[in-house]
Amino acid sequence: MQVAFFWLFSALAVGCALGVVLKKNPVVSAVFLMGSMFALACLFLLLDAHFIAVIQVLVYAGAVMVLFGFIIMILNLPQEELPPLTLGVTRAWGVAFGAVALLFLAGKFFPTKEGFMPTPQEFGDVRFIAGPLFKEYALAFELTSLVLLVGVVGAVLLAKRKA
Amino acid sequence: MAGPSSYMFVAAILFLIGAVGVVVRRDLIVILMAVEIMLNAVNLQFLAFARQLGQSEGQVFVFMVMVVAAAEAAIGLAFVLLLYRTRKTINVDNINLMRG
Repeated sequence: MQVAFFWLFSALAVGCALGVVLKKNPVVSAVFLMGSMFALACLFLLLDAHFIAVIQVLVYAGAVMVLFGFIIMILNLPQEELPPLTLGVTRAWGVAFGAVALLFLAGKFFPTKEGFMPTPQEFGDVRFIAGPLFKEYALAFELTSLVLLVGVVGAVLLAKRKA
Repeated sequence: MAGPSSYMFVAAILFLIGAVGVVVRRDLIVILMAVEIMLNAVNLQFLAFARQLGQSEGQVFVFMVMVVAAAEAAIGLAFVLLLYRTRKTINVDNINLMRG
């Protein structure tokens, strides 16, 4: 059952990620990206990381996607101004690199039948994360607030600047 | 039971799609989206190994990555907006000057 769900959500995540890269219209890409985020949140649930799965939906599928949507709407690019999808010589090298790396990885990391080690009962819940987050990594946690503050102030400053 | 190798396989494929997307696309917004896909692939990897080792550090790391990704998206998109105002394009082929 779990295996079936794993492959279902993996296929969804990979398919939607392909949609992001292959679609010309950024609005379509944004919707595909949201689908990929949701599929990944389901994969996180399968990994028993409930807290992270919820945060994934809230932060990525919520906040970050709204940001992308806003920017796409503010720019409101006409269809003919969108960069074309045609592939030049240099970009063809990028695709070739991707294909070679994929072949390499498929040989190297091919999924085996082996399952996970038994995990502690409380693995996914908030207390399990909060412990180290507020003890060993308290400094890093406090610094994230600084990162977010700089992010907010910087974004407002940049967006309001006269061109 | 889908084990760590399966998750590693999927995360590697997602990361590759993101990396190739960054190289191949010219639309600056879609390039930022491809970066998000790469970050998500790394998060999946972190969680798979956290689960395998039964430790919480991997989850703490994913939490930090998400915070940085959110800040990065905000700043990056503000840059896109500013760039579009000055250069009237989001095609990265046309953005080739340090000083415009």
